[in-house]
Amino acid sequence: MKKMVKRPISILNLANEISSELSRYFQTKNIQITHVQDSSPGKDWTHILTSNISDFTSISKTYRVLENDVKIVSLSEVENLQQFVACNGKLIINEVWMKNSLGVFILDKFFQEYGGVAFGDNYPVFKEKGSFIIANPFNTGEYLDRMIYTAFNDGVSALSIKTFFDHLIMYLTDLKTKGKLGLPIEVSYGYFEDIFGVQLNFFTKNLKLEDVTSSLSSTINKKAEKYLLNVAVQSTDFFDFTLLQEVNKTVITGLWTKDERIKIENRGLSFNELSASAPLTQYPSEGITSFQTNNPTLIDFSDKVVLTGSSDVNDDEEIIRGGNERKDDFLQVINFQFANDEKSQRVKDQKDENEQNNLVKGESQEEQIQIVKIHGENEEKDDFKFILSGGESKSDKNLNQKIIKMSNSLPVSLKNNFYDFIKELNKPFNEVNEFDLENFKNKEIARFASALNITVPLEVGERFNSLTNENKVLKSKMKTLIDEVKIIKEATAQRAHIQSIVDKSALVAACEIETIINPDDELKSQLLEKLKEHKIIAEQDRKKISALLDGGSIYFQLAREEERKSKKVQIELMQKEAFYGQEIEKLQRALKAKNVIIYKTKETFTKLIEMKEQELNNLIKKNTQERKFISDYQSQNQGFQIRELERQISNQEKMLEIYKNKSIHNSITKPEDDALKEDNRRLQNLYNQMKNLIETNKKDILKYQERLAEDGSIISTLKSDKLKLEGLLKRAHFEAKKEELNPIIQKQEIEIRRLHNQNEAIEVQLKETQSKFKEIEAKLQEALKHQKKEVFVEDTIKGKTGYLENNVRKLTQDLVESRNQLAEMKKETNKLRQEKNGLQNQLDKLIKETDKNKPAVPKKLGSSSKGGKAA
Amino acid sequence: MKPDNEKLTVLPIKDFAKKIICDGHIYLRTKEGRKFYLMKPGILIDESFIKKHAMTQSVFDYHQVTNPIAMSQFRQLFKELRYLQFEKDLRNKTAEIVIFFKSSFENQIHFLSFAQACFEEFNAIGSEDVKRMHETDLHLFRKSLYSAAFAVIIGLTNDFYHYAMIKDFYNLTLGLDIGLCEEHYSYFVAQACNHENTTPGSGLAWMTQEGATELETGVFLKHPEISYKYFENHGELLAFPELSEVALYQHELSEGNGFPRGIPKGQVSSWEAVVILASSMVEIAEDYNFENDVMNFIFSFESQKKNQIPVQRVYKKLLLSLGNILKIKETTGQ
Repeated sequence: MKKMVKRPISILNLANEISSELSRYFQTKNIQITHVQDSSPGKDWTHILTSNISDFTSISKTYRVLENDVKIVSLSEVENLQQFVACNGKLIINEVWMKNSLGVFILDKFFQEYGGVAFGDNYPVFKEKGSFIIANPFNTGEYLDRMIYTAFNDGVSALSIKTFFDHLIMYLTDLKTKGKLGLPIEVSYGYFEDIFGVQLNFFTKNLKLEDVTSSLSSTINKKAEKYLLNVAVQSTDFFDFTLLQEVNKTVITGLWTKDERIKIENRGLSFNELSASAPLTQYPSEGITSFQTNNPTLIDFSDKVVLTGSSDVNDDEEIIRGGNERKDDFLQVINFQFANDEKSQRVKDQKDENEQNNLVKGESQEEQIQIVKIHGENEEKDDFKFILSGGESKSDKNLNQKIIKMSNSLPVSLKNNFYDFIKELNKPFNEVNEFDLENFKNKEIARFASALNITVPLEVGERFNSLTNENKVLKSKMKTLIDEVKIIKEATAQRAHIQSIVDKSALVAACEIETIINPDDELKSQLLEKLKEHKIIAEQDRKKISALLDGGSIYFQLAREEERKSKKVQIELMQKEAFYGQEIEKLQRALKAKNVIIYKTKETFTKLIEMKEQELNNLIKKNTQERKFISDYQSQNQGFQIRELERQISNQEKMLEIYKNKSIHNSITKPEDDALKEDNRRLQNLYNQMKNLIETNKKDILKYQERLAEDGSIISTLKSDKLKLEGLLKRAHFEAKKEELNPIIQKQEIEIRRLHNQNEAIEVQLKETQSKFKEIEAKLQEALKHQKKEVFVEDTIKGKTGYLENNVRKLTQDLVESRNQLAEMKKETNKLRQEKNGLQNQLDKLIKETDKNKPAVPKKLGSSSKGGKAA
Repeated sequence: MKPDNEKLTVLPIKDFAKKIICDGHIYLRTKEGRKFYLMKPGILIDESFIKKHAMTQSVFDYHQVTNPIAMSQFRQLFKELRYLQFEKDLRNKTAEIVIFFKSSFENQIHFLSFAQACFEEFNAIGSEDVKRMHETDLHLFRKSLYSAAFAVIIGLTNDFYHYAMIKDFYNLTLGLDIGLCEEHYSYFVAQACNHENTTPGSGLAWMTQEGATELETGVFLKHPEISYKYFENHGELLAFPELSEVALYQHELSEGNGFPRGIPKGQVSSWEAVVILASSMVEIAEDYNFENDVMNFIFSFESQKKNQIPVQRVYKKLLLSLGNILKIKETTGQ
């Protein structure tokens, strides 16, 4: 378990100046940065900061970056990425990133050299939103849909993510085929503040970083495999490629930010080979997902995908009509306010608005037509004409031709109708446009439908809509084609202009040389003549000769320079010519291809319409045939049919009667009815029984009432007796008080008190029994009422019997209860009677005793015996 | 741990011979009529054992713990998963299996029913190798059988939907300890593995403390690599041969102190974590309490090991999917 010892970070700064944010970062992290002027030779650097460097080989040689494993960091865009990586270039990060919240994190990750396979491990600040496993690279649809859905929800450029993912997966598939990658591929995605990230990790074997960088060239090749990774990289704002050599894994991360300061030119890239990575720096992490528990429904986000330059039908029409008068409108269309819709996105491949404006400005429609005529084929020219012509006033013949061309898209049978339709419109020919054509088509479909007496099926409408859409696509294609033609024209004009400049300069130079050389030749001839004559060259002549020679040499130099210049211009011209030639050739090829596509689509469109027309005709034919058949059939067989029907009806009526009789007969004999009858009988019996029971209950109640009345009379007599006794007692008490001597009277008094109390208790018991009686009575009455009601409420026979049985049961229970209660009551009344008798006896005894005592009392007190007798 | 409410039936040797794995508690009656415990569920039934008892025409007392209906239902679900292709279908079927697993647990169906269904469906390891495991340690195959079944349920709860991948997980986990059967095996090696499973990182220390020989420590330290080589040499066992790397990760730790590589945190993939987790859940021991509650392992696992082995992510997802079982446990106070 040997681990590589990490060297302390020491950075050499070859960039002129670094931003305050970056220098602050290095200060806070205590990382030493040395400027190139202050550096001492031979020092062991770990990183080199560069900026605006196009050739990294010199740095590589000077600082022996590969031998010493010095990592190069570029703070600006790198032109030759391949060379950069080959020279141990590891990170490209524009200083704009340092203004973003992620910049510090990226630098942390880079300098501390940590990495992990899961998104949460590699970028711990990110909150994971989802993850999935790819076992088959060609089976990723729903996973991708869900990821894109999340990206759309977060408002990041989801289209870029889609492009990135698709291309990357196919690139990885290529690696798999080469045996350098192993499945499965684990994908996780999430977000941090305004940054969305997607990470893929997978097993890799013998994968060199160079293998990857070699496919990063920007030229698009014929083979898609060669630019897949390039497209993936270009689709991200930050691309991180990390090889975890120790565990044979590779981690690719793409980051997308909503920060508008991050553009294509300051896109970030990171290539890491982590052989002995440090444990992860701890950042707070959050979230873990599973598709099994988190399975949202996907929404159609089509409204968020808006292509720059594409617009609705009306706008298209305006563009197509074009012409000098409509230029302003066209420009307006181009300047369509996409910015208003925050959620809308621009597709990067689209041309800039300015570019489009330039293309349109200064172009007249005739020129466009001319161009089409040059490049297009005979068949296709016509197709273009009907769209492009009609901008300015033209002869009626031409306009008529326009309508003819428009009608070419229609089936033959409809052409005449279309001309009639145009006439009916009462519109000048130059104002007839595509709208009218579409209106005509709609009208015709409706007419066919009404003729067939059918509603237009949904399919036809859908197909029509799809055809209209196809038409729109064709129009936009044509527009781009026109743009391309314009580019070619511009290129040709530029070439011609350069050629003319070169020709002019060459002509001027030739004239100049001629004018300069001519006097010298004259002087030369004069001097030669003089030499022949005098054989000696005079001093003046010598000077002239030397001046002549000097002049000559200057002229030669001038001529050489001019020659060089002209050669240079010629080479440039040739190069440009070749380039333009290639471009023109390419465009011509593209143009041809597109023309073919347009032609084919148009053909299919017409075929479809013809098919539709054929179908409609068939339907009409069928309809008429059927009608004819029906009418024939009716006329021939009507009488016979009516008779037949009448006969059938009479037979059926007879049959009905037979069945009715049978059913009546059956209903009588059915065993079910017997059962019902039995039920009814049983119910009747039950009802009678119930009635009897109620009557007996009533009688019982009356009896009880009578008894109650008897008891009441007894109680009342008892009460009166009690009152009498009380009076007697009071009197006796009064007499006893008076006497205060007779102990027997005292005893009697106590006894009377006891009796009094007993009497009170009996009274209470009587009251209770009365209340109980009343309750029972009330219950009985309620039960009777309830029974009566329920008997009539129940509808079904079974329900009735059940209910009645229950009621009977209840009533019998109540009866038993009331009988028991009555028995108790009887017992109580017997007791009360006994007690009453006892009391009566006691009272009698008392009276007797008082009577006995009376004669003694008058002796003492002198009271009369009359009162005693009365008591 | 035998259940209290055993219903013993008679199992003749011919019926016993039909089984590959013992699916219940087996007792043997002596001539005197005394009953003694012979075999526990999950043990591999080897040929020599059958031959021995066939001679005497032994008749066993047998209490079956598996549920044949649940087993066949699991098999059916696995088969359905095998023929699915589209992501949504795969996900739904996976969810269905997880739900059925949960319900089987709630209905107290023995985990061996699931384990045996998995073995019948996914096993690709040759019978010779399986036998080798059984002969090395009577409980090694049983441990691997349960671990491999756990790997299936962990994989399914972690959004691994593809049948082929689940099968690979199964075979990798089943054969993960095959490295122990190579050179020398002893009580020390088995116990060191158990220590490593219960307290990650403690296996070697325990061996040194107990005075294990160099050969024994060597076997313990090398067995992940031996297992890896086995899978490298038997590429036909796996649909994704790259997954054989997993064999190296069974004793890796979060802080980078594991063996053989000592990799730092965050470099273990989910698919590797599935196998590590499944392998760590079961020990090579005689006294598993599977009979009463297999899930004790899952929930006791959390507190003991979750910070020590690099499987947190996978473990969280497992709990996320089997959450209801956790709730049941909480309410019953187990």
